[in-house]
Amino acid sequence: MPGWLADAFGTGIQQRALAEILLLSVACGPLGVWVVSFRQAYAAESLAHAMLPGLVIAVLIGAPLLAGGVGGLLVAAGAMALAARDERLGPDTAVAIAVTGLFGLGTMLALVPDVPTRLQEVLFGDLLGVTRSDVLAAAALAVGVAGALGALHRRLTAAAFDARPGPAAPLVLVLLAITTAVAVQGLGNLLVVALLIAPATAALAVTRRLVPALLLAAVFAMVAGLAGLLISFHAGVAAGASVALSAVILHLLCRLCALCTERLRRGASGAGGVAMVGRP
Amino acid sequence: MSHLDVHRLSGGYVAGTPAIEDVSFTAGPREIVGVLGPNGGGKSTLLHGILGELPVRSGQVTAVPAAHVRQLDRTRLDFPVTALDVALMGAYGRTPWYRRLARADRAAALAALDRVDLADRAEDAFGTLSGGQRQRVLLARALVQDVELLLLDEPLSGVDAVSAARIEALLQELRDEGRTILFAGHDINQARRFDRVLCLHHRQIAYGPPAEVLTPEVLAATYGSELIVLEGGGLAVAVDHHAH
Repeated sequence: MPGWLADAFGTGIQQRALAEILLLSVACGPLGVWVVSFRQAYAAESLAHAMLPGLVIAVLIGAPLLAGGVGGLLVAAGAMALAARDERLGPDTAVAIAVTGLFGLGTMLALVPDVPTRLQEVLFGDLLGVTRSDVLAAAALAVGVAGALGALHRRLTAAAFDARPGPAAPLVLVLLAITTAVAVQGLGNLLVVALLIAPATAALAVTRRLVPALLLAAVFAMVAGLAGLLISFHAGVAAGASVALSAVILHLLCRLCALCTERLRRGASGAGGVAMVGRP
Repeated sequence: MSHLDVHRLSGGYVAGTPAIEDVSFTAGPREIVGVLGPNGGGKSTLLHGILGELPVRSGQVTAVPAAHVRQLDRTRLDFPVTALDVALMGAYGRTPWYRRLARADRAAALAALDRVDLADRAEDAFGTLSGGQRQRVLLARALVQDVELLLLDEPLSGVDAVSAARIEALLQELRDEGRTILFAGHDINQARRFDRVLCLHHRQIAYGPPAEVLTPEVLAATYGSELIVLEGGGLAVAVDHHAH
């Protein structure tokens, strides 16, 4: 193994961080493809932000972040459902109001005097601080989400293709909520969305087949995770942020690649075609 | 024995504002039933009502299992599936979640694509096909469902002439095989070739053989100001393409 790789993953802390991000990738990548397919990226962003009060309360009372995340999500879902009952607002506006309110509440709680230092973890995650039980939770998540997506595959495919969400879209939202709650320890509630959406959009940019897109999204999430941890170690920057940025860069590269391929294809099919001559 | 028996069907999407009211008709095997009506007249709502998908509904519908081909502009073009993937979706309903799709289903999907003259495009991305080709793929999916009742919502809208001719010929073949087809559309002249016609403008205006139903009076009651009289006495409908 090359030195730059061995150095970055030489300790138990670093190995746990790597295991955590690889396991989260198994869940986040494919789930992200469905989130994007059902056009729920906004919901993903909103859920992650809206759980802040629950996470902050967990920090303040010393409870596990996972418990705080789940509690926060339940409150967020309730607030969104309540706001959406006002038909004059429309669902997006209702979600925006509920999320801003909850994010504001979370920030207010976070800025009370004697803020515990763990608060930074809540916002930005702490991949290098994950415990053995966090890794076990990520493993359970990977198995659970992969299994659920496998079982629901045909139902999700038909619903997304026909743009008729039916009961499938809420199922994706439930998986999204669980994934967000588990992933928040490593990536923080501000950055977790990057590992969900960016690898998925990157995969969808380079393949026109669904199953390859689902697998590729997991691989891209893993690549972003590995690259992020390496950058974090060698450049001495925050791990969660490095992973998020790596995922976004991967997305940009894949979009660029798709754009170039499209241009080349059009150029090839246009060669020898009719030239349009405009008036001077 | 009829494939479809609709008795006093009323309903819509919001309580208190029914989109269709008091629709009753029966359709048997080997029948193509044209459903004519203006935009917003309740054609799509009727198909949803037959499928039991209306949130607000009264009356009775007795139907054999049906395949629904929705309006072409309702399908996604950016979803990563091929024509064969879409045709295979027709087998989803009969395959338990824990089973792989059967080889026979794959063969049926390829045969269905062949039947709509798209066997050579099976591996093409659905979004890259023309409107007419996409409509034919959606019909192939309905064929894979292998049901006796087909509900088609404006299957020729946005479809090129070649695809339209293939689709019309296919519908006649399916009819001759004993199936029942409900064809919601706008073309009065085409409806004259169907076995029965249902004229709908929220309420049922008329139902029966085209020669009896497609009278100027019935069409005027169905279409109102959308009906235009052509030179020579023919009738046509001015259609604004709608998206709802």
